[in-house]
Amino acid sequence: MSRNITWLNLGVIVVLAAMLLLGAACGPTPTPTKVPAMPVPPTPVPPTPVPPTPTPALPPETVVILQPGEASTLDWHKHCDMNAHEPDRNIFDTLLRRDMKTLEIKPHLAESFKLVKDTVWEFKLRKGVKFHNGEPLNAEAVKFSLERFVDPKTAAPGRGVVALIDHVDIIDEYTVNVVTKEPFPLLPVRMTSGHCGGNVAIVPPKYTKEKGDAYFATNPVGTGPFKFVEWKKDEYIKLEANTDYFLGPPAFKYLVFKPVPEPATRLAALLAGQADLIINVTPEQIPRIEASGVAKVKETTFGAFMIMTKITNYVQPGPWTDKRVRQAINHAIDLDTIIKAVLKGHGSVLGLPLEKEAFGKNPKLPEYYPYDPEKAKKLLAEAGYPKGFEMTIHCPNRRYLNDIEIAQAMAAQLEKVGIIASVQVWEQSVYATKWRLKQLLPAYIVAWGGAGLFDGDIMTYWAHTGSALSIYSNKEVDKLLDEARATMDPEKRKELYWKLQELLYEEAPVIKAWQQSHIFGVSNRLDWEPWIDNILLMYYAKLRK
Amino acid sequence: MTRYIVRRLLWAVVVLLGVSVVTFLVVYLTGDPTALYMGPEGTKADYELLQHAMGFDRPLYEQYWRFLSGAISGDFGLSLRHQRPTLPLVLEKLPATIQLALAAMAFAMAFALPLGIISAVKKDSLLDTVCMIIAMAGQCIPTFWLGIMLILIFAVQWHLLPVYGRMEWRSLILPAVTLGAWAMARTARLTRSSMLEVLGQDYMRTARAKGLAEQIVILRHALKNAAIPVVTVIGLEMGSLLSGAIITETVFAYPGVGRLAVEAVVNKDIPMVQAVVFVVATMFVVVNIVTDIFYVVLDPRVRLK
Repeated sequence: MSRNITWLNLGVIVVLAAMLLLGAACGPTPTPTKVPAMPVPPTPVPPTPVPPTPTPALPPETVVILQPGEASTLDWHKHCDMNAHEPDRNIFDTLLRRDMKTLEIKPHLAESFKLVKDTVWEFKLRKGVKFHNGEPLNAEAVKFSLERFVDPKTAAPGRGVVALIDHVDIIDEYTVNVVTKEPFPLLPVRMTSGHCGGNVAIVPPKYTKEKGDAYFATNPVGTGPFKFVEWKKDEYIKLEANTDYFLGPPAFKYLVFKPVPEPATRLAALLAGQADLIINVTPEQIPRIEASGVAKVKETTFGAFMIMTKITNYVQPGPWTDKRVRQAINHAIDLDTIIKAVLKGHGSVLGLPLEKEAFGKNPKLPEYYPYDPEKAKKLLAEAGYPKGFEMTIHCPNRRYLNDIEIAQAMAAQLEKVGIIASVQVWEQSVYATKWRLKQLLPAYIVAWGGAGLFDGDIMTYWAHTGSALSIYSNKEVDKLLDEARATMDPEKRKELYWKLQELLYEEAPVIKAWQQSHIFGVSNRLDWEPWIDNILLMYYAKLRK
Repeated sequence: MTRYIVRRLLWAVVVLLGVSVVTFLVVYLTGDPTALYMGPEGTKADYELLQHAMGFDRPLYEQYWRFLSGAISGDFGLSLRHQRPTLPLVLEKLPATIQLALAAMAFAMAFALPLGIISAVKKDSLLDTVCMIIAMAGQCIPTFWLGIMLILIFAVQWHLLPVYGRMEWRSLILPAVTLGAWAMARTARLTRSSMLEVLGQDYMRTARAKGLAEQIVILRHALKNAAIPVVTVIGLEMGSLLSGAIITETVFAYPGVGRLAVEAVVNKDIPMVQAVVFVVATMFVVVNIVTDIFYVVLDPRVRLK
């Protein structure tokens, strides 16, 4: 009997251990549907003093960044992927770069650049710059890189925006002429670093040719501030400071990118001191970071992408082909209130989708259709729809911050003026295919820009009939866009964009656009500021002692 | 026995073929992946160029045939996203997933068997209730929530364990507990009911009447007989642990096959989805066969024809 009791005692100990383990997490047990996006820790946990040896502390001289996903490839020319762009931005360089504060386009790998004639741009290169493998940065490297990027065989996803580049002529060891098929005023902008917009990184010709594309994709070599060390799939990408960097060595030794898909886990890692910088912090997480005392929040809408709702005027017949109806829809929506309520203020209303810092922004235009339901009703009546109509707003599934809620709020406001709008949500891959086939009608939400472009040219992609993704058509708009694209004189180009915006204001081909904040969580030991396009540039970051 | 195994393996090939057709169709039906791999500013011509480069402009049957003929020779094609052969990538991640599944199973068994046995032996006592509450909790707490809670308590609050990744052995603890909770709960409840059934049998009374110690009666006579359905379930659980670590691997950013699967599906990386499904399905089939063999060993009444 006594042996029996011992055995039972053992069992009780095991059970108690299990209770401790599970019971700790047993607080309020929500049903699966009620799982909060960011659960707060259960209150029963007693505040415990920090143990003497805290687990996995961050290694010294190493900055650890948690990304929401993993890079697809590290060959800059072959992706359109934020998670890949972030390490790449630190491995490679571009010919030019914008000034972070003034947005002025400045030389970077190039020493200077000038327009020789309408279709020829000359770039003089910085001397003495070397790739991480020792290859020299010279005219041949620039020729190779630009021509590789526009070569259809490379199948670069961003090729379209620099497809006007015809070829590159080598003038001497450190001078190249970039020859374009047509006048291409945007060429300098496209030579600055940005995301996915054909911003061409300079790659080493000998290495790339010798090792082949497949090898280069996982063993990139650039001229950037950090050298590639190792990529362990789904675990980390490790970079090391390039001590020979032409602007001087970075302030710390290692830069590590790790993919952590779950936002709550990224937050936990930051709070536990296991990450220096986390991306895509949600507004609900901000108070926790601020209260933690171990990290802080960096938030900005500057250079953020513009999220807009396009409405068609020709692909699908219906009330929306009448501009008064499109104006009425805009007047009916109170986006300020929606941003305050749904994004908790972590965003800003833009109106016509062009950043206020962008080249060609018309500062004279009044606010884009202020909230005025009475006027909306009047316009609808004038257009012959006093009782409203039914329409669909297509929305991606959580591609943008609280996108579905914003769409639903817009639908609710439209109902007040008689428009019954239903929100149709699509999974991302389906959405991307459908928008290319112009099947998301009559209106759909999509984001544009945010790649550091800051140029009126961006309007092409939502307003030009010929754009693969535009569902709006207007001959005069097309003419102005085409003309601006081929105008080399900046002043004239600016005038064209001003005129264009006046026309677009009147035409209302989009429901007012907004920008969501980019929110980062930053450990106290990291001194870092977001870059203008919110893609991480870690060269200027420092680790506090 | 050998013939039985060979026949099972042949069936496994048919199963895998069926699985490949179904996955291919399901992934394909949701649309052409080209759009996802394009720059947003790309033109129609760029789209066609990329579509051709990825082979999605070919008829469906041709695409499937290309996949199948490659797969037979072990070539599952290049990942659309990574432009690297898919099978080596999956196999590279397999050890991590197997390690996690084994750890989860070890955790589950270490708790499930004692919990089940105790609550059966002490039926209707307070101890029984407590044990079953724990088991119920394991079954009804969502994996996602449990994972996050464990992280908040053990990593953020107490700084005892790593939050994410697979850097050292301690990285395995939280994911294993999270993943194993469900299997633990299910097995504990099954052990209890199975034990209760056996405890009422005549041979139990006989064993006690022989004067055997209670411990021996329960462990050797009751447990061995109660274990038969339990083993079946453990086998099935092992299969799900190997393939069902998707949520756990995502929450803990654990680099296993589940993460690969999520990434592949989200990015519509068809060759990668195919390779992952093939590997997971193979494991599932193998585990099932092994379970059946165990079954034979445990239960002499089951004879193979």
